Amino acid sequence: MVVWLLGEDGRRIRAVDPFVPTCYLTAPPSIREHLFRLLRRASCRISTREVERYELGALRPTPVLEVSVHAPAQFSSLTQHLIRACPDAQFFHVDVSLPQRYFYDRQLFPLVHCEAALTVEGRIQSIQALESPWDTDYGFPPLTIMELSPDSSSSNPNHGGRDSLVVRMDGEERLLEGDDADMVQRLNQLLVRQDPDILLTDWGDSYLLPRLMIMADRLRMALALNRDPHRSVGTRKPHSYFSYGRILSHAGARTLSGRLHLDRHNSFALAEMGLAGLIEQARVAKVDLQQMARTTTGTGITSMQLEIACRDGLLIPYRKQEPEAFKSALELLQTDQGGLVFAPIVGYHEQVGELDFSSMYPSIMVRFNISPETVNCRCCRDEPAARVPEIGHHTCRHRQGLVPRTLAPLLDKRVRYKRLMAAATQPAARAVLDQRQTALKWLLVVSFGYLGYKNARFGRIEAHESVTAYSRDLLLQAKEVAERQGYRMLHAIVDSLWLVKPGAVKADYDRLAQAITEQTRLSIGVEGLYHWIGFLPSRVNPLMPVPNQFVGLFDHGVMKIRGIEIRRSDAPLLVKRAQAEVLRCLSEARTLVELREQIPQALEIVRTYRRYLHDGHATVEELVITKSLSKEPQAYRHQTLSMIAAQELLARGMSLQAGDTIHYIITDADAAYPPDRARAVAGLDGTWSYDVSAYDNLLLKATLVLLMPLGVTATSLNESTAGC
Amino acid sequence: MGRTLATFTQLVQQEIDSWSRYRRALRREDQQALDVLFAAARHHASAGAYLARETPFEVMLLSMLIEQQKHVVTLQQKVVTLETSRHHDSTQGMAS
Repeated sequence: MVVWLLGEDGRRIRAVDPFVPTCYLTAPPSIREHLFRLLRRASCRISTREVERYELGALRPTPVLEVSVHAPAQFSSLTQHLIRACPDAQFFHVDVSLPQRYFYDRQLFPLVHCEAALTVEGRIQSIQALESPWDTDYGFPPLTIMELSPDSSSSNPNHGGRDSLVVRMDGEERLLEGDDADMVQRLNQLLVRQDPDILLTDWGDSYLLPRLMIMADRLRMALALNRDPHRSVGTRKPHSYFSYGRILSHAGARTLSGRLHLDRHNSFALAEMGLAGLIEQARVAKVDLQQMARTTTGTGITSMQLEIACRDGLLIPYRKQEPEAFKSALELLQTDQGGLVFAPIVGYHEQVGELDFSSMYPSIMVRFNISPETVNCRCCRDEPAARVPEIGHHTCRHRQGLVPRTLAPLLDKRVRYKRLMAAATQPAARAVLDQRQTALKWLLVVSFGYLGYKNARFGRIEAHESVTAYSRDLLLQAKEVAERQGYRMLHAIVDSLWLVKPGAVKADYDRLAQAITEQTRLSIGVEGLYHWIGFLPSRVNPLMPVPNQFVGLFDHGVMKIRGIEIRRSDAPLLVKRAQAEVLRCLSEARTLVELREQIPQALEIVRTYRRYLHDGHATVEELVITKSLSKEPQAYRHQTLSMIAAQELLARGMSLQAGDTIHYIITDADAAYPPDRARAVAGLDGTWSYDVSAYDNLLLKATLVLLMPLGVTATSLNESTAGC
Repeated sequence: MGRTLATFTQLVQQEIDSWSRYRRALRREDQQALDVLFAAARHHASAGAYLARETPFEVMLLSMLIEQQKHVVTLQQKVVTLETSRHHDSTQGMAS
């Protein structure tokens, strides 16, 4: 295993640790001879021995053959070969990435502060961590960063070529221009001279690095992207995948050896939690930084579970196959529910408090010991205290499960970060702590999804069902405690409750949270107090409430907004602006009486916007509607506006696929000839006009939803703001 | 002496028990309304027992409706009385 070390003297050292990965297998006697022949023929040294190991949740050990591969570089190709050649054998430990297994085995993690003894040739004789991944006070390692971007980083360069390169390092910026040979040569000089630890790019994975590598190749010039001259640049192809009902695309990857390549535009982690958050995730998950930057958060939580499994000597099955146990229809009805959602009481309410259970699902898993091997264990079947509410499952009372053991230290570390954040005086330090706690939050958030995911290593649907059953019971317990104390429940979603009681102040809500925490033994806190909050009605049926659609003004002046146009990416800017202005006007009010007094001013805002629209002043920017194609453009059966715009783009020779984003403007929604109804923005020339009444409708709908609970009707809004 | 058949009051109680999870997930004000409805069913237990129908929940629903109907009539009467007295007040006001 090649390990890069940064010495205290500032040297970057390429060291080699003789690491021997192992895998395990069971095979029927008939193919054992064949198997041993294959092992003898392998091109590297292999040793085997018969051992006994446990599978997760098994009561008896399984006798297995342990295969040690003395050349880590060949581990993957050798095991893949065995799997193909012996379909009747069962394999374990074969598909866990080797850097992760190295980290588990040596109790190390990415960027760890460590002590190592090396031979003169750079062989590692011993290596120990000098800190724990659960420490919160580690510093930022002194890594040097070179930034690389196309000369305009604003939009995707894949949609139009650019020929110069911006290089930034130590606050210095260079523009590389000229012909290809010039550019490659100057970049190579910079790389060799500056020798950065991190190459931070814009569009490096999909555009910059592939293009630069092709150029260098064609010109037969050196380009030292890698610090390690013995290795080539790692390449992964782009692919599409399906997630939560949406088609998403994943750009390819270019990973380096001896140096880290991070692409700002191909990293969920960098975008969500910054470099400090990415490092935090890599440290606790023990996943190499370049991989952590590009993978889903689920890989992180899975790695943490794998580490515990490895430490316990458990077998990690290749391609998990564990079907759900059969259930009756009624059982399915009772178990296959998610969290509880109450319809809100539509209208504006004052002096409302919001209480949230913190990290509810992971906390439930830890508190009630929910894990694939602890649900419906054999030992606790008859213990009433082990029973999951509502549904027939039970969880183990004797052995702590793998999932709770993974999550408990994460929950604890996040609480410690939050405490440090509250005490932090410097904004910069606070920001780093916030990024780190956000990184942990994401690991916790996805942990629940991986409990019921059929492809997860350690997932089982019954465990998933137990978590939601507990969550429903706990939310109802919270409601009962609140109602006993005279609070009225206005709304509740899964782990949050909106409550009101005349005269109740912050201290009362804190006391209520305390009482609920005592009763449920799960931490709930006051998210905030609202001067007022409005739960808004459905656009389709004004009498119907809609969960998670509200606007509220916290007592510290911040607004919390959910589910309306202003939060939606497809609404035109003009509509969002009008809504924002009406909200700003409403936020002047502190009480319900004051809220009603704001109505005339709000109507005046709507009138101004309508006049602007009618007078033809609105610009493309303000009118553009953005929609994502949910299927291939040819597959649409109805003439929807986005489909009409897509057809226009196709006719212009652009290629489109499901998942692509379409920008269009409504030109004449009622036109008999469909292509007249909408126009794609990309194809707009000087001769276009917008459909005033279509946009007027959107404007009225977006403002009516805010004002209707204050007594404004569709007719009165239309009439009172029509004065052009 | 034991009974072969449950009394109607017992049937109402069984029905209430079968709705316990539904009741638990209602807001307190709605729970109170539900309790009033089942109280009405219990109120007419003797008539229900006398009918001895095989689907007792129908009988309970009709008992609930009877109580609702009586409420509606009472409220209507109150509205009429209030409107008459207000009309009386306002005509007096004009006269003075």
